[in-house]
Amino acid sequence: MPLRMKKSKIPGFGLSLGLSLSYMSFLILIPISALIIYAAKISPEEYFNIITDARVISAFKVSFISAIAAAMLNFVFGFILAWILAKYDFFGKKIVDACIDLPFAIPTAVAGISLAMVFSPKGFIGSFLSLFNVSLEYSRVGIVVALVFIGLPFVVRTVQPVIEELDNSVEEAAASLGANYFQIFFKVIFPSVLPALITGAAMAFSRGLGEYGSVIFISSNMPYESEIVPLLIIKKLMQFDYVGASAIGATMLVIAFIMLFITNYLQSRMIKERS
Amino acid sequence: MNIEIANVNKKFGNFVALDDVSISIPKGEIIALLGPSGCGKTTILRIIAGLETPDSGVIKFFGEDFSNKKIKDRKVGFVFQHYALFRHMNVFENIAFGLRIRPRKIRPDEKTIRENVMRLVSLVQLDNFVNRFPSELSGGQRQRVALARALAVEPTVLLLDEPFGALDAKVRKELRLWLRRLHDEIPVTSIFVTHDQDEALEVSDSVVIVNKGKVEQIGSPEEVCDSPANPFVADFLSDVDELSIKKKKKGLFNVINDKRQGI
Repeated sequence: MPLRMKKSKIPGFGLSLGLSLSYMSFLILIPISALIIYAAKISPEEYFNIITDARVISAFKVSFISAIAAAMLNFVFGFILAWILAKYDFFGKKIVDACIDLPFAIPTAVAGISLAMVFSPKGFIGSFLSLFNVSLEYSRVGIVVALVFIGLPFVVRTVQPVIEELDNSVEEAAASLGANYFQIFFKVIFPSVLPALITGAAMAFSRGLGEYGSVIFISSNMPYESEIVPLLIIKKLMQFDYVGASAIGATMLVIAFIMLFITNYLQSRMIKERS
Repeated sequence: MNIEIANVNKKFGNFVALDDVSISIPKGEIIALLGPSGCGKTTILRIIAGLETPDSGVIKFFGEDFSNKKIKDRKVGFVFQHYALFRHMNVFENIAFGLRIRPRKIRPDEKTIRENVMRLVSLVQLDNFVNRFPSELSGGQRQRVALARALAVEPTVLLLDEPFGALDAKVRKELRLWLRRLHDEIPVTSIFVTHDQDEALEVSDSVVIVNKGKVEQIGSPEEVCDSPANPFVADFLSDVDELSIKKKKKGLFNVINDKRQGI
């Protein structure tokens, strides 16, 4: 492979590529390959046995189903929130806008504890829900609530600038051609926001997959029931089962990578259609 | 009279955008709204379209009061300065949009839509571009798509807001000659906004000169040039290229011949 692909008019390609490659290597590539190398120490059968253990499989199910559910909820409500922040002016908008980023800022364990308190049967929302015999705390629904909380800013912050940049005259053009509000939204606005929305939801999903701190406080963490993969990994590590932990970790890594790759591919194809 | 606006006033905050504006537009003509920037000409256009509501005054289409009609019920074709194309749709779908969104009862079938769109596509000379996306087109091509899209719904009036404003000088000249010829083919009543005197005089049947929210003069290009109503009009039209009026009298094909001979 030729090192210099094509002579660019802008200088510094070699330097900046070298810098970013070594930066990425130190921070991402080397640690991740270490994980895979560690997991590769075991034979395929052993690996297969670890992965197909019923407890591991149910943990994978819990993790993926909750992360997907949370990403879908954020897809809908994150979009609505971003829409409101981008399109309307209302009292306290600046405060709401600032609140969006809070899940980024506070330690996830703190978020988990406060969510657990609010949603516990004695808590503010939990006591209301318990009237209907719904218990969020210590159930899978609780996990989804925590992941929605963690993933929200990813969706809002990717979609909001795209909505802000929408050209008003495009909506006016659609209206002049006879479109009603419903048609303007679903045929004109939504398709132009969709790629960003998918990116945001994919980021929220992958964040949710790896989330640990907030979930363990709101979930009962029952094996086979509400135990998530990151927790299982931690448990294995605590039992000095490093091989088992890295096998599960590597599997999760590969699955997450494939899913992100697919969403990125879909998204770039959608963008390609228009640029 | 096709379209009539009478005693229209519009304020934005304390700024008087339109001050008692009355214009009537005969069917089938091209009218230019001409004036310096910020004079209110775009506001007039947007009020006719229904994109802006006047503070007072009446807008009539064919004698019927349209003042409170919503934009989607006015059947106006609007062409924006920056094209406002649907960027996630190709040229075909952009043009078909107005037909596809009709309620099922009055929506033409797929074959009719296809025929209509293809007819418009060849009218705007984009036959080889139906599958392109807006981002793959030049500015002039995009504006022709926007025009075809507006014409697809068979509007009662075509409103063009600085349609050539974002194009470079050469394309602008070509496109305005082409627009004039297109109008001779499909004589839909058209109103276009411009701040370019030559453009207004060359394309339009009559010119409405607007300044500071008031109509200064209405008349044919010859009238406003030969006998300006007041010093403002005289000054505003003082550096007009005399040729642009002559060009129109001669007719387009002579102009093209002149161009070839380097005149």
